[in-house]
Amino acid sequence: MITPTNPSPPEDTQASLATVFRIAFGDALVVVLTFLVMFMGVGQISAEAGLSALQTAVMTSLTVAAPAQAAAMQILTSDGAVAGAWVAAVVAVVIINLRFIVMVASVLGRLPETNFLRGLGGVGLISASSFAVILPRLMDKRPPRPVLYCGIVGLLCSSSAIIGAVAGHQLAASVPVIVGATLGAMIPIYFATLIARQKKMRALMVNALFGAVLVPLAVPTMGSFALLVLPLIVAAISMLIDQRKKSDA
Amino acid sequence: MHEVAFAQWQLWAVAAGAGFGTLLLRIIPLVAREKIGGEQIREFFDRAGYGILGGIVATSALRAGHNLLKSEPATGAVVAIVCVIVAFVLSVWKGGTILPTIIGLAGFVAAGLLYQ
Repeated sequence: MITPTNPSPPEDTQASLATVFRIAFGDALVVVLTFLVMFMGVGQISAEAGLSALQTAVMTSLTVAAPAQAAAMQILTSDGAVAGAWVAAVVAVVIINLRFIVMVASVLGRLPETNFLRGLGGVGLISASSFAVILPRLMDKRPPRPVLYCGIVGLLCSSSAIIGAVAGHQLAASVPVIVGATLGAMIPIYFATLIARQKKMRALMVNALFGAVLVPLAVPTMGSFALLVLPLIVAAISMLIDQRKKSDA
Repeated sequence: MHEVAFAQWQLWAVAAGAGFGTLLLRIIPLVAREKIGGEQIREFFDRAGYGILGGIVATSALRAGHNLLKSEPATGAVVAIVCVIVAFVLSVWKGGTILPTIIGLAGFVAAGLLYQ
């Protein structure tokens, strides 16, 4: 059973910005470092597709999704691209990022009530990587001022993505194969340790395991939808099983 | 290299359309917050969220493994998955995130240097 969110204790609202920033920075550091290099590749292919550094920065600041941006640039630079390919590129980004709806919904469920603007500040820049940092933190040791915490993590990740993308755009730099691969491996290895934080919650572990096994198997046929559709199906089935067990008991 | 030269407005449309389109996706749950506020719904999204996390871990590990050993992508994938499992088990056993991550990465780099 998942532990309900506790209401914010009084000291939550009195924690200083520096305290919240320190927690957020510590949590996001690995993602920030990875993004600085990972998004250099995004910047490179954006330059190849004809985007300026400013356009690359604007796109990266709000999208913060390397796979989606890479897919869009791939569409723009493909051999059969026609003048209307820009529409396909935008649609591809939106489709690939549909999973963000589920991620934001999951984070919002663990945040205190707030107004629209503050909420937008908190979750407006959430990406897959910042989500992986934020959700375990909210479920494990909830930070003070959690909406601010979420906003800072999102902003740090987005900023590092912009810096990496613009640097990649300007320098068109390439890193040695082993360095690039190692940085690519930081994300899954670090995320696996974040998942491990919820080791006592069997249902979450089971869902993570099924996601890890099923999604790669389905990607060749379902594409990016696999990452959205399969976890939703597994979550629905596991909820049904648990409810049936409860009613039987 | 591609042959189509896109107009500036088309490139801006891609940059802004992708960015604001993604932002709108994040706003949807914010607007429909009351409908997702129930305990059951939240539990459902927690589970789906961890399913997505598992999917991200597996797919990005496979990609990193393929990039590590391009001549033997299957071996690279196995190396990456093993390193992920080692970090996960260490984190479950001893707790923490940074040390298990460093150990997992060290194994990944060592395997890369060994095979190259």
